[in-house]
Amino acid sequence: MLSENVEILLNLLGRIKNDDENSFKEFFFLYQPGVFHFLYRYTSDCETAKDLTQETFIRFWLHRRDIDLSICSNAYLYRIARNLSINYSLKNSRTSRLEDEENTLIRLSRNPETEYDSVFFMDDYQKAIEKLPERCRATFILSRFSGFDYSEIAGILGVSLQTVKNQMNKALSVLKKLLAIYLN
Amino acid sequence: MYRIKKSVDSQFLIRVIEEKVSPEEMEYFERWLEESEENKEQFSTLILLWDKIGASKAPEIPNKEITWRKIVSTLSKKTSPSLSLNSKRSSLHFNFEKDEPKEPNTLRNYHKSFDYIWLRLAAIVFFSAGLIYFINQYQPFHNSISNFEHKKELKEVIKEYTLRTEKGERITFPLGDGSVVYLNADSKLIYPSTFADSFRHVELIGEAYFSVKPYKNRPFEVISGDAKILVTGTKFNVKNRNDGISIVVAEGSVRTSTSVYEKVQTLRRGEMITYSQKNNNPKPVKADLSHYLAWRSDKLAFSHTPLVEVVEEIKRYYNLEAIFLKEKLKSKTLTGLFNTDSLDKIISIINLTLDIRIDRNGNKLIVTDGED
Repeated sequence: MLSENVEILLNLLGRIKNDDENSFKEFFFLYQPGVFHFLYRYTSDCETAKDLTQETFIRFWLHRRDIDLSICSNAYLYRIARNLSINYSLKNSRTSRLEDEENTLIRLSRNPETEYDSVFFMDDYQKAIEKLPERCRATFILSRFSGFDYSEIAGILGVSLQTVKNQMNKALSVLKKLLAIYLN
Repeated sequence: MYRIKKSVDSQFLIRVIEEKVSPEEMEYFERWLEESEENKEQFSTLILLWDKIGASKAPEIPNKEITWRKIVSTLSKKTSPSLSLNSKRSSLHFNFEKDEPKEPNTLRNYHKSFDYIWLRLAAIVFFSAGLIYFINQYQPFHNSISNFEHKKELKEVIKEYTLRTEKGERITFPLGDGSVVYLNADSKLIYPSTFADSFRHVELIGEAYFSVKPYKNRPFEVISGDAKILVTGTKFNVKNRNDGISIVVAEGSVRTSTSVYEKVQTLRRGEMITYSQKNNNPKPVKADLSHYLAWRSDKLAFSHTPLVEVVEEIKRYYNLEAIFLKEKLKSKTLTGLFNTDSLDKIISIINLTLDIRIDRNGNKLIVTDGED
């Protein structure tokens, strides 16, 4: 997190804790893009990410009493987002997602012009991220896309700093291998 | 002095890439980098991986207002009345909510002072109308301010990245919104980690060809030196070198202006505009696309180009140094399209056409006339 934002965030969190709905709205507008991006990178699926973004903020509001102001970051928001995605991936097997993709392709072939913008295809980088094991993937995404430093990631994932380092090294070496053709 | 070889881990290198290190750490990093080729290799792979993955394709951020509406409606169902989002305090801000719940609230305060039912009804109409007028008048204003503040804050959250090419290097680089940038040698592109919902903005130093993914209501802006180029979805080339800024459009149209020439010019396919100190009336002119876009297909194109600029291009393309032994040679002009696969061939053609002598000595070009 950038230091100049810490104060804004802490202020918002304090007011949200006291049931201030306007602050919650402000908070949502500020962090929706970040949470959505995290969830997209994590689930590799745009629609799922949309739904889970919504769910993340709903949970956040419902559990606003649990916000720990001493942590002074939105770690709590990302912890919710990650837990929701774990639950989601347990419930929904990968096959159903593939079926969705097939449906999308059929739809696209019928009406390529109008559907194009609403349909989204993963590139090879995202496919590589998808191949990382869960904790490894969460670590990498939080570092690369959400801009957290290692100690913040340790807080979000509830693991030690050393584990974050190990997971990150693992992520980097796997990605280097998977993406070798792009890295010359 | 004996120095203990410290180890450098990925965390440290990532902080270097994200420019989060102190000057001392930076100095330490630079020493580490110089230590071995292996270190350089390790770092360059990491930075490449980091940049490319960061620019990997992502879907557009879903509409915030719509998502927010869904959240509010789910929460209204879930929470007890006292915690619902319909309270008087918030209803003005949550403009998408129906205004009805507010009216009974407002009127309750006036209940006792009106004895006659007709007067009360008249008052209801009056107050409702007044309330609706008030909301209509002031909400857009209020919202535009709060939206502006959101944008300002978002701007602070979104990070900027820099993509650099060295001399002799070119990069094809996909941006987060699906646009593609072809960055020519010795150039620099500054782009955000994610584009905003309503606006896309990048900065360029050097030369690049942009293929911008069209999004209605989400203009794409390139700032290059003094010039501002605004498009919605099109293909164009921007060249910003010492001699000025030139913009050539290959597809669609773009709008350009600079802080000196504020007049907005519209460029269409096949047109170009040049902003420079020499040109005091910049206007769109017809341009030979194959000439200005030659660099993308690994060709060097010149048309009545002074030799000094020709040599500049060659220096950039092949990462060389050059010395002119005779000043007057700089102004000789050259026209032609060259394949870049053989530098020696280019040199021999230039030598023959201009009757000069360019010698290659290691990574140095020495330009003299043909006489001695």
